Amino acid sequence: MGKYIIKRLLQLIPILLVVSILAFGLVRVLPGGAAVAYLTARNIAPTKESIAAAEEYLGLNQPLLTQYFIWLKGAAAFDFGVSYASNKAIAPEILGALRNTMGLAAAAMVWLVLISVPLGIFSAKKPNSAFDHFSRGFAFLGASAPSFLVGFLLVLLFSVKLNLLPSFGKRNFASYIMPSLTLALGYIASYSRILRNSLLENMRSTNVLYARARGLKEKRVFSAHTLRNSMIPVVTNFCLSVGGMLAGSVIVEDVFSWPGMGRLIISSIEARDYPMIQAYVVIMALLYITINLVADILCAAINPKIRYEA
Amino acid sequence: MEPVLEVKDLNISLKEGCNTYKAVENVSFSIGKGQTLGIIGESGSGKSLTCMAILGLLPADVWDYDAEIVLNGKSLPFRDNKAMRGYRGTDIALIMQNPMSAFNPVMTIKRHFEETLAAHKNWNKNQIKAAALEMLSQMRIKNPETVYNSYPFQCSGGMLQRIMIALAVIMEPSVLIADEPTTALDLTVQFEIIKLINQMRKKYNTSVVIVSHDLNVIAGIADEIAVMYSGFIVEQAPAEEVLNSPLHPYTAGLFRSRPSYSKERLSEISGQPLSLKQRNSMCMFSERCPLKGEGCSNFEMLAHKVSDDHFVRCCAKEMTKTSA
Repeated sequence: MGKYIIKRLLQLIPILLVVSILAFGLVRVLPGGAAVAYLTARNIAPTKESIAAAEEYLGLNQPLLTQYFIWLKGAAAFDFGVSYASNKAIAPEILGALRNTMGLAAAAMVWLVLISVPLGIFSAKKPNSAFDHFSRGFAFLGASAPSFLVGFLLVLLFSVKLNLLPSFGKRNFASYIMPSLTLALGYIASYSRILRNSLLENMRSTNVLYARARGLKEKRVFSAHTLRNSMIPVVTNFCLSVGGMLAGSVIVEDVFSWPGMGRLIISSIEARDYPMIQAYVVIMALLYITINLVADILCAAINPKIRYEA
Repeated sequence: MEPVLEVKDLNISLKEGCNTYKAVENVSFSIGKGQTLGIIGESGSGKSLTCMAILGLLPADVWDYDAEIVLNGKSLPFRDNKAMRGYRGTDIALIMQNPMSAFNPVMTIKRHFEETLAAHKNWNKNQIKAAALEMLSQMRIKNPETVYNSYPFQCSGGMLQRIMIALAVIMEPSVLIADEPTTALDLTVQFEIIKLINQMRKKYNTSVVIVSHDLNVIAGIADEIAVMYSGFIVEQAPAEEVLNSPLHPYTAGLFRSRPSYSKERLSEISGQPLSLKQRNSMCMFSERCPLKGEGCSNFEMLAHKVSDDHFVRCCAKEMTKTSA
């Protein structure tokens, strides 16, 4: 297991190098040029002289390779330079936004576990019962309703009509409720169905029959055999979507004015804040890979087959 | 001798919507202490259903069944899943046909032993381990300690089948049901497994019900043989009698199609058994029977007693015997 983790960590290095080249190159091919963007962000008219001065100041007149290495050196020390838009250091700004996004994702995961596990179990216990049909309908709606719609409907109900929850921003614990629920809904829908189907399949499996034939209590048969084995595909799928949950909260953050990564990147793109975009790409890639690694370790922990083959 | 297990008039039918289809009919047998009953028949003849019914493991929403099953003089509450739990594993143990999928892949062999024994006995982990290791070495597993701590997917099929026997015998059950215990294994391992089951039977004086479609397996171990066809026991008698003078044309056909080391072409029983939905009031075997006569199309599969411990369900036999 230790060897496996080290191997995976070493794989990080080439991946991050490629990502850094892409992030660096991507910004250079965007039309407009960084110097112009820098000047526009500062409300300075982009004349020939001012552009030359800005290029000089930003180091854009140096050879591309030199620029890349200067940037990479900084990035390795977590110094991504200064934002064009706010003129502040990028790293603390991005980390603050990242913390908010991760908080949102964590809250969404709590919803996910709290709702989809019982939903899946109860619909599997009585397949095709009224409850199962209800949860199927719920899953269908939840999976097909876009999150901006769900978000606005929640705001309409809980903020405008009932005046219970704050409709935007991140102020207190209550402001987590609606954005995280909106983010979780699509996942809840699919995971409750995955769990239900996996449970139904496992209930008829030979190892469950054998567990029963050995005289185990029904409770034990369910928890140690049916449920545990059914969780494997759920956790595997879940592991795949954690990264997506972090990166994909853009719409939800926009609806609820959540000061997270999604909003940050959208405003940075609008302002053509190149250093910020580069930093975002690199940090997101790093985060994605780390989360996938954690997810893989989690999968290995519940499935010994993976543990021994790795 | 008082029988250990007695099954009387076991009828099982498949529920499908408003219809029911009979899958096993009037199966009755009894086994004495330390005796082995071999049930032989082709796929779909109801062998496994019979085994599962004894353990009360047929899901009630699919199968409808009725019988009187008596274990050590007490009637088994096979319909009551909760009450049956106390019998499963302790009084009646099961060896299944596909060891590779019967064990839970995410649990070590150790956990399998622990959960099984914890369900029935108040042993601590060390006691369980000692008993399990002892049992595993009796199964001629060379490094029981390693095997005990390994996962099912790290063991071979033959190994898992031995572990399964160990798990079954460790509680010294009065009845051991082996449902096709050798089907998934290769030939040399098959022989070993049969030998082990037989040894355990002798050692613990357990009664064994062994189910197989393989005549060699049954012939090697059974004291009594029941031949099943389309849900009926078509012939039942002590092993030598069935092997030496089979009376039912199906039994005879089975024996003729048993491979031997000669160059002659193996004879076969032509045709297919009737599907559940095709079964009606005629003899189930008549379509394939070489002795088919007029009586066969309206034969209620009644048992004809040839002697005290030999019966056959065949109208041709009934007539020839009565006329003789």
